Formats: sequence, structure tokens, C-alpha cells
Amino acid sequence: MTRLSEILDELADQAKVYDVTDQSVRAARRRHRQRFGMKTAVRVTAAVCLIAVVAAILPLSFSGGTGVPEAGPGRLDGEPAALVRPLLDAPTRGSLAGDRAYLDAVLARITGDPERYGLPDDRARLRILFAGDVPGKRRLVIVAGFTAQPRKVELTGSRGASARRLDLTGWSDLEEPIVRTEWRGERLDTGYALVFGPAGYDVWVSERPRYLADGTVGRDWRPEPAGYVLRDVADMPAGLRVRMSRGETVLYEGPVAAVGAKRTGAVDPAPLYGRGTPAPTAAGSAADALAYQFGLTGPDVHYVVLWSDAFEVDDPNGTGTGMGQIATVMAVTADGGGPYITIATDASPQPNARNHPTGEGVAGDPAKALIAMRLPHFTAEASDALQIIGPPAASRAEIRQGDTVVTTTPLDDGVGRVELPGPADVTVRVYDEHGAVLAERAFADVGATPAGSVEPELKGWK
Amino acid sequence: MVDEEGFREFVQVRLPRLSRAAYLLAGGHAQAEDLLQATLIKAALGWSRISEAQDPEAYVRRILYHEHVRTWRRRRWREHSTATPPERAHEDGTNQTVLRLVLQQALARLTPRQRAVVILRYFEDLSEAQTAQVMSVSVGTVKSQTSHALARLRKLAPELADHVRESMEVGS
Repeated sequence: MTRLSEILDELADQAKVYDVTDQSVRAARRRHRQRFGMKTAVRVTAAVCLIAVVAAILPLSFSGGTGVPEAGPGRLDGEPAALVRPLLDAPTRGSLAGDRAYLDAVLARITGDPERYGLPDDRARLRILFAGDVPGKRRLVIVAGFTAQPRKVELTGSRGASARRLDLTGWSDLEEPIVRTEWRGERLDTGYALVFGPAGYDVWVSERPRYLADGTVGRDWRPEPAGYVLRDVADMPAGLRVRMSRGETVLYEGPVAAVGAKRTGAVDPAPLYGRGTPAPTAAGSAADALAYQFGLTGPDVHYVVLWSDAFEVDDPNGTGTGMGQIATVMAVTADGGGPYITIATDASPQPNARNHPTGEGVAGDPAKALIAMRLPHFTAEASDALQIIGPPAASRAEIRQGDTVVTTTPLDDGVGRVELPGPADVTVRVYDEHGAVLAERAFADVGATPAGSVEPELKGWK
Repeated sequence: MVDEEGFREFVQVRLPRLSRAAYLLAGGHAQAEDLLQATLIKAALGWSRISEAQDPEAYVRRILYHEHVRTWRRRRWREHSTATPPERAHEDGTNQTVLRLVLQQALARLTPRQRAVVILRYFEDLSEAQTAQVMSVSVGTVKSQTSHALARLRKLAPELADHVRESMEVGS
């Protein structure tokens, strides 16, 4: 009888020897230099702390790296997948789209040294997706390979730079039919955000959403005549969102970029309705993150702590192990509702922060809102705990699957926790002391859209 | 990195083994290369500390498996497994090639942690305690993850049921 270990061994025989030692050593040297630069920067400005927290909660729009793209097996061969082909076949966008001489100069530069860009050496297998001057006094050119595993590279320079003077500043795999890219200068208030997709779709934008007391979000949409979204981050409106659609069919809908605003006003660390204990560090970080991501600042917005507590952290690196903090903070807007986020901080002297995708969303009236979420974790292993934050009058929660009650737990001022191994797809229902249902909501672990997400991305191809 | 030569020597000797593990974890050549590179970058950055450890190989293995799970986390909203079992071969399903293909498809349907635990236990041949150490979890979690992973393998690929059962008996 062949055992599993023997079949695994045979399967492993298909592996090649991936000799990436040189690339790894080079990359490590680069990162070492960058780390040194970062450490210096941290000493200079506290603003970096804000970025560190916020970076953890923003979806990654750039999954590649900097420096020279390393080669990989099959990177330059084959035909692109049907999913990304319409994007690769779309006409060039940007203010230089009609400048044939400029585009030719870019292509000539790449085909003259294709290895440097990790792209094919055949001009017919290269696509310039974007070329133009962009906010922040910069020039941006995005070029992709027309291959089975397409990669796009970003070339940037100062405004008006010739093709020769552009620098290779980033690269990533092209896995989806849209491109989202963003750059911010050191002062954060200069830079651009760019989103585009295949040709043939209507492009709409919406900004300054209304977060209503019933927990829904109201939006007005208007067409974006350019067919792609390019914005100056200095003027980024709150909640800017893009939609690409054809008739009723939505290809993509999602946020353009974080606003990057700095929080105004203090956060009272005392949790609302006495739910938990004050956690000022985590509460401050969460409010900072909300301001940065949604731009909800000013006199019409106030931050409330929906729940906070001490939080035991097990950090595999050791430095953060101990008693940290956790807080769920909501930005309450003039319309009565607002987004919330949960941030946990570890026990380090300069605390590291973590969030969890299910710990953010939009809530209505804080007195009636019901939140169910997994807790952030610092280890590779996720917790089985499901945290419930309900109306303050809620005294019991039921976790249900259809008509079956999976488990139940008492709530203290509306707050409680149950052990529920994932992946779970359940309904959470909370009752008052007389047995009346106060609120109910769905909770799901897996899938592209965690229940209660803050206006999740819609990807029509999934 | 102070001792670059030492790092290169260390990697050179272990590259075939690391490549095999990376391939099993990642499921494809390009992905395996990316995973291994991300691992070696981290190892190079911490080499002065790692090289002084009692067992540098165990340290690098730990980075590899954590990197595997971390990479999945970053991508999880772009990738999610389906409930559909992989296509099965139409042959009699008993020869080694078919078993290998079936296992490859089934592994791809496991969660990254389940895949990691299967590979650590049955490819790296680590004990439950050693696996727990690599994955930074308790032995109890390793036991439950292994049990879930093997149950899922049996469900996804009934052709493997006997082989999985045999492995459980040997491994237990």
C-alpha cells in the first residue's frame, strides 16, 4: 500500500530547484537599506505611526514589488487569460495616449533592455495601458506584457519627463481586469489615485456618501466622462467610489483610494453604555484609521467607542506578547450612522496594531446596532471566538443556522463572546431580558464579502 | 546581513529540499519560486540571528510555512476555495500517476493551514510537537487540523482514502 507520504514525495519530484538565492540576497540588501531609512523617518515624524496603523486596514492594491522584476518560469510565454485580455486590449489612457512618438520611445526603451523590466522583448507583446501627466507633478506610464501571466510595470518621472528619464518604480502581476494604483508624496497631501478597466464600460463615480441611522449607505452616482478615474489626493473627496458597468451588469465597484485625512478632535476612551473598559491606545488608533480611510473629520463627525477592553496578545516574535488593548470605534455622522472599525494593539512600547476584515463595517444608531466579528490576532492561528456587540439592553445572544440554535451566550450590557470554530455562516440574534428580539444579523467567515463590510468591493468576474 | 557567504552555503545545500516543500505548498512553479524567494529574503535579513540558532534549518522552515499562510491571507479576498471536488481521472484510479494528480488537485482545495499541516506531517515527516512548533500553534491544534485535513482529502479524493487511512495509522 502506498502511503500518503510516498505520493507526496512523488508529487514533490515535479518541483524544480528554484535558485533564487541571488535575487533574495539582493532584495534583502535593498530592504535592509529601506529599513534603515524607515527607522530614521520614524524618529523624525510621528505621522508615520498613523500610516502604520492605517496601512493595516487598507486593501492592498499593489501586490508586487519595487526594484527590478525578477524572472520566473513561464513569465514571458503564452497568451493572457480571457479575464485580463480586455484590459490588455483596451486603448491607452492618459494625457499622452495620443502621443505616438512618446509611446514609441517608451516601447523602444523596454525592448532595448527587456530583462530590466521583466517584460517580453517583442513590441507586439507589450501594451501601454496608461501614459500621462498626473497630480503631484509627476508623469506615469504603465506597461504590461501580453503573456499568460501578465506583469505590469510602472515607470514614473517628474511632469514632462522624456521616456528616457522615467524610472522603474514598481511592478506587479496583472490578475484582474482593472488597475488601481496610488502614489502619495512624503507629506501625504500630494499624489494621485488612478483606477481604470477595460474599454466598453460606463464609468461612474460617487462621493460623500450618507451614512444613515438605519445602517444603510446612500449614494448618488454621476458619469466620469474620461472613462477612467484620476484624482489629486490633495482634493480627494470623502468616500470616493468608482463603478464600471455595462447596462445593469457591474464589472467593478470599489473605493478609489483612502482620503488620507488626519483626525480632528479627541476620542473619549470611555466605552458607550459602559461596554467594557477604556482602551485609549486602541481607541485612538481606530479613530485615526477611520479618519484616514473615510475622511470623516470636522464638527459634524464624532467618534464613539462602541466597545473596548484589555486584550491578551500572543506575539510569535515575542516583543508584543502581554496585555494589549482592543477597541471598536464608530465615526458617527450627522445622518445618524457611520463606519466603524476594530483595532487591537499589542503590548509593545510602540504598539503594533491589527484589525480583522469582519471587524469593520457600517452601523446605524449606536444604541441599536448589532455587530458580530472575529477578533484580530497576532499569531498565524486565528481565534475561534466570535465577539458580539449588541444594543445595551440585549441580555442574550443566539447563534443560529436556519432554525437550529448552534449556541447561545449571556450578554453583559449587550456584549458577549462565543466559541464558534470557522468557517461559520450563521445568523446572530439578540434578545432583551423579556425574550423579545432586539436585533438580528448575518455573520460569515469566508467569501469575498464579509457580512457588514464597509461598502465591499464588487467584482463582477467572481 | 553580515555573513553572506555563510547564508549562500546554507541555502545551496538545502535548496532542493526547500524547493520541493515550496512546490507542494504553493502548487505551481511560479508560485513556489515566489514563496521561496520571500522566505529567503526574510532568512537573509535575519541571518545573523538565524545562523546562531541551534537549528537554522528549522528556523528557515518555519519562515517558509508562515510565509505560505501569510501570503494566502493577503490574497484571500481574491481567492477562495469552492465546494466542488476536483475533477477525477477516468482511468481505474489506482496507478501512481493518477494518485499524484488526484492528490495535487485535492491539496489545492485545502486551506493553507491544512495544506501546511499535511506537508509538515507527511512530507517533512515531523512529529506533532515539531509541527506545532513550526506553525506556532498547540499540539492539540495540529491534531485537529491534521484530522480535518485528512478528512477533507478523503472527501475530495476518495481514491486516496485508503492511503490517507494508512498514513493516519502510521502517523498516530
